[in-house]
Amino acid sequence: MQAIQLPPRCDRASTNLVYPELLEMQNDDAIKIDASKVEQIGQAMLQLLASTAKAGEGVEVTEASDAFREAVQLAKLDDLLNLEDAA
Amino acid sequence: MNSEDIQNIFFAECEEALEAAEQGLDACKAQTQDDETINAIFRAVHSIKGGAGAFGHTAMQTYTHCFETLLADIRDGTVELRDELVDLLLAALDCLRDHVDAAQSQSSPPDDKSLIDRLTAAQAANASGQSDSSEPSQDEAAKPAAPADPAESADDASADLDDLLAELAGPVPVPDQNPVEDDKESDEGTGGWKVHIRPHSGAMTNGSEPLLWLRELVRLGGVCQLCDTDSLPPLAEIDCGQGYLGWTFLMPSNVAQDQVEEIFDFVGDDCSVAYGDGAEMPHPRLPEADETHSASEANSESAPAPVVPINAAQNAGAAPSKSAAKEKGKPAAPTAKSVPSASSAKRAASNQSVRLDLAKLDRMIDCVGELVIAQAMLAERLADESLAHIEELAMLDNLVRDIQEHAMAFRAQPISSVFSRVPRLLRDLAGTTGKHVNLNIQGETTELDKTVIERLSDPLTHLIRNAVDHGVEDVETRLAAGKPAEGTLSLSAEQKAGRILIKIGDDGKGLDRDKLRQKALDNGIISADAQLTDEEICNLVFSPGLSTAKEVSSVSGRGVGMDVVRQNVKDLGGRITIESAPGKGTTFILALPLTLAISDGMIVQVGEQSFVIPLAHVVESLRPEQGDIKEMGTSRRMLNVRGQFVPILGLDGIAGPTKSTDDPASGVLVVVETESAGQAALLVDEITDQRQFVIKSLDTHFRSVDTIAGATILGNGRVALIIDVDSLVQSVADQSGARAAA
Repeated sequence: MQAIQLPPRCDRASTNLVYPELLEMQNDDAIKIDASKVEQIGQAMLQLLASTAKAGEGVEVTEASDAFREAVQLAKLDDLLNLEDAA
Repeated sequence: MNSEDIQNIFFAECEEALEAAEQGLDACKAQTQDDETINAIFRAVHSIKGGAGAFGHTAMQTYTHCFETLLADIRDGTVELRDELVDLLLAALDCLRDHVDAAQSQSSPPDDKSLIDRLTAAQAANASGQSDSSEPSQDEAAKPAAPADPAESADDASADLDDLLAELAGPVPVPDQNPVEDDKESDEGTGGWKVHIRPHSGAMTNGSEPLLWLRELVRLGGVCQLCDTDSLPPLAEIDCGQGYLGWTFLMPSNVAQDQVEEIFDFVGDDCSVAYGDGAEMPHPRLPEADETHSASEANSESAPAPVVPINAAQNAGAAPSKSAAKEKGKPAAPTAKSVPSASSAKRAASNQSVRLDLAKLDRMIDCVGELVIAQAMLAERLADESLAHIEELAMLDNLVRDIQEHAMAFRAQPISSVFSRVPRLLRDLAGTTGKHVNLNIQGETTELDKTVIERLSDPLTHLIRNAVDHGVEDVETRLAAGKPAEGTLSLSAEQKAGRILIKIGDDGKGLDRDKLRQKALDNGIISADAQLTDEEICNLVFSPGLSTAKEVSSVSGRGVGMDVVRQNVKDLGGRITIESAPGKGTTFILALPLTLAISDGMIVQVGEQSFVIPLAHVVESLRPEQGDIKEMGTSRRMLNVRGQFVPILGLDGIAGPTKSTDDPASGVLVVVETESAGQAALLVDEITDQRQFVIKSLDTHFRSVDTIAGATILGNGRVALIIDVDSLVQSVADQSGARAAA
């Protein structure tokens, strides 16, 4: 299973950087997302994660910071991103 | 456009907002306000708050939040607008202006703690009053996040709408608590209404972030019911810059649609919002689907969505209006609508103006000036070919004049932008001098050139400070003199004879001429045997030596003495005169040109020199009979104009060594009117033309010359000097007076 660590600032610019990595990682396994360092996150990154989650085996959020958790809940994407399983 | 440009626009808008708020509060003070007045004040403060957050002026943002919270309560009728509260709001507005000034000058923000305390106390007093009542009002429940103390207000401000802008580049704040769960329970029993939001690509650019809007909805008690991910493409096809998500929120029934609309005030077309349960989630605006979706959105806008109440018993399914939200149990009228249509209609109605870089405008004015010169040259050439009177030239002349007038109108601004600062100035002066002065303003819509307006501010401020500090008596003296306890300051502006007259008058004690003369004598400004008219004695206040150090450092001094005031007015091509009556007051009259760039003038010939006499001064021109000329002594000649004698002035003194006529009967006399020295007749060889001329400053291109207001380029390409008629006539009158005294 491949993993990716999200940067502290998940704005549109960093979304553009993460996007090719996610594209490369797409295969049969769920992509592990380490969101423990996230301090801020916006719609651009969330919808990228949501799109990833909807495809293939989806994503697995292994760790989530409070900021990440709050934003995902706010956007009501917690079910799609399986946030309850995150540490 | 960079951030500095945008911030400059913000400061310009602040000025407009402050002016609007000041007018609104003045109306409140006069008890002539209506609901819209309070709304306008609220909008003004709210708008400043939004920009303050966007540009990181945190202190201003916190302060305005506190200010607008109280205004919101007044607007909603939960706080009664009493006279003392108006005074507090005026003081708060003054402080807000200080905040804006500080932000603009990049200096430290003002100490606003005391005012924040007072604003908060005014609101808290109301809140505690309501808690005494047996049944809490719906208003209280509807009121979002009213701060109980300054610290709380600061925290609250960080979570307010305008933080959307404040967070342009910063981290998204994590709220201390998520009210979703609490509100969910409370709403299940009371119903609610839905709002669907669909951010588009622009919502994620320029620092905007849709999640902040969601957070605002939550703060109002909204509960996210659905995140629409249906439009999300597969990962390989996603465009990170596009908006694919949409959200549906259930808002509490006691939250008015207006409150939610405010969240999207600054969003523009970057987000589609639809209100009401019957409304559908707006479509994403994707590049390939633009045409389709805009068409479908247009259809949905033209046909309002049906409203299906969530709780039919309470009929609260649609977004309630603010008043409906306040009235508990009263069904709200269904008002489902799509925000894009509503807000764009609002914008279309309000945005009937264009902001323009002043430099661009000035370049256009310069071009118009050159056009005027080119047109004059063309007329000259055509005249050489005996074609001076062809119809096409007359048409061109009219068109050029129209263009010039329109171009000048672009630069024109109402003087209210200067006058509107005076109430605050008087409040400040009341605090420092203890003199309460009523203000009477007339003609505030009179328009002046922008540059004149800008450069008028300081002299006007100084004159008003002087009027209150030195002119208006203290209460005891006024009452003893049979005057009202409070003084009156009159400000007026009017257009007269091609000039703008601004009058600043007080009903104070008037100038003490004996004291003034003695002071001038003591300072060596005049000699002991000088014979001065009342007007000349009054004009001594403009003498540099008369400004003492004490005056400059006190209320009436901002480092600008009365001599500087006169110089400032003179620099604008204007004059200042004084009318003063002992015991009745003093009026300063500023006569200013309408524009600094182009004017109408009479072109005259004196020997080989051409001069321009500004048409605003010209009363008539005539070729006198010999009998109309009267000799007075050896050097003065007077012209009898229908029984009135006016002095004849030759222009050879300013024309230099040139062969000009000395005989009035063989030349032409141009009778001119001045502000302070009456009429005079200027002797010239002939009048060659009358046309518009472009004023070129001698200060810029050469140096300042007495009696010359500037220069211009004639149609034949030659330079002509523009006569400063006031200065010329006054200087001759002064010389005559000096000779007579000697």
